[in-house]
Amino acid sequence: MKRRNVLLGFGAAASGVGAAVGTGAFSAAQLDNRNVNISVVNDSDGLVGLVPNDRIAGVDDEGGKLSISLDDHGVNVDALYQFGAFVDDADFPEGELGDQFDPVLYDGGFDVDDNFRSAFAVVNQTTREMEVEFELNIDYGQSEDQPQFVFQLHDGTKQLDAIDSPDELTGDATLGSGEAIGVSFSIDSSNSEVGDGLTGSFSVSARESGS
Amino acid sequence: MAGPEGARTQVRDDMDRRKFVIGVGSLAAGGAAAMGTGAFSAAQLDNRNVDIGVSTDESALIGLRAGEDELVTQDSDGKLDIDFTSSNGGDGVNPDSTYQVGAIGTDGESAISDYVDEETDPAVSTGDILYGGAVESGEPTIDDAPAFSLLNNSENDYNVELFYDGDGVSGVTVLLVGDGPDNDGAAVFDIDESNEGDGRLGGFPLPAGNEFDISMLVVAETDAATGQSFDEDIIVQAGKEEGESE
Repeated sequence: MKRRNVLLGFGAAASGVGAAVGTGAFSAAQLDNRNVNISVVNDSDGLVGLVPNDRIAGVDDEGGKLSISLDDHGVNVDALYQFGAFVDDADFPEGELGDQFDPVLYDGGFDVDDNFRSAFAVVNQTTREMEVEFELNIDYGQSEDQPQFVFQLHDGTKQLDAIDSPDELTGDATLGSGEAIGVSFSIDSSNSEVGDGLTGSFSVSARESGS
Repeated sequence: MAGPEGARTQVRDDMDRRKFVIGVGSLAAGGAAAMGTGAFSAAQLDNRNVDIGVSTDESALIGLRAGEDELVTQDSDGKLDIDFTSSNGGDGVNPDSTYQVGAIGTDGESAISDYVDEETDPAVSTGDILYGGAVESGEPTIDDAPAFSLLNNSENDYNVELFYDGDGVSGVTVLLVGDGPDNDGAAVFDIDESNEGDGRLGGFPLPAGNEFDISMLVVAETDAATGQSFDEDIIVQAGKEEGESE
């Protein structure tokens, strides 16, 4: 847990520039130590929080930032992995592997504290409603055989949006104050070879509703 | 390994596809409980790392590692391959024969004995164990010399299940005898002619960093139909479904 407080002391100095000196004027003043408190916290605690599910392989807090890191022990070649429960299988991968696969489904609600089944969560830890956009920036490189993926954004009972490679790489959701959305994902390596992989990043943009 | 020319039952058991369910659990980590009080108009969190590699079966999150026998290998694609053919020309198992890959050990023999007791018309007996059984003390056990091993290379505990997704072959029974890390004895699953893809070995616990070792016994009867083969997939399912309905 890295937590640093950044304390900026405001030195509001009004220097006497003017020539005219009226009654009660002063030539200089200094008001020290007006507090500004901007903490740098890990992703879980941010105003827009990203909370990894520590029961899910490869989804961790690394240096305060949520990270999906499955490069040391990756997914097997020609395999289908699911990370976190989906609320339904409407957008679950199809094909030969998908047909054999019984996805883990759960639509009994969602709470990061005691009913956390998604791979990670995006939490609105402010007092305002937010529009959240989730975007994957994946470097497909030269290979057309990179693993395919689906990220499902859900509220624990229904899908809010799905990110479906290779074309749909953004997803949107509206989060009320204190609300969370779950994000779970699948990786399908049926067309991939050893050494292929997904390298990139994701970003989360949050904007107050109506702003 | 070569059988008589023209009288050959081919037993191929190619593992072409496997499925992996990486599980879900209830989470302990809180950290997001406290509500901030500040409002702001927008936020952007960039560059959260995504790095997902495609690995060989041996090194992947849920790994499969071939044992020492030539019939079980990791093929050039990085997938475990169980193939009863040899580069020296042997191609399959003979009628009226028993082939064993990997040791069976005391636990394995005990599990096979239980299996024989439960079957109405068992095609296999503990007498089929060729080596590494309880017949002689000091023989190797399954974990000393397995045909292949299932590995949990992750930091999470999973329950693992293994099954064959195909039809059986008339007159041939394949037993997979597995021994996990829990010292709870071995388990057996069979692939035989009545197999309709419902034979399962599991779901045994496979804690993080542990392995489940599996040996094979292939018993072909005198009337085993030559020319047939097992040529479907063994599927590995790893998951954790705490509190979830199946």
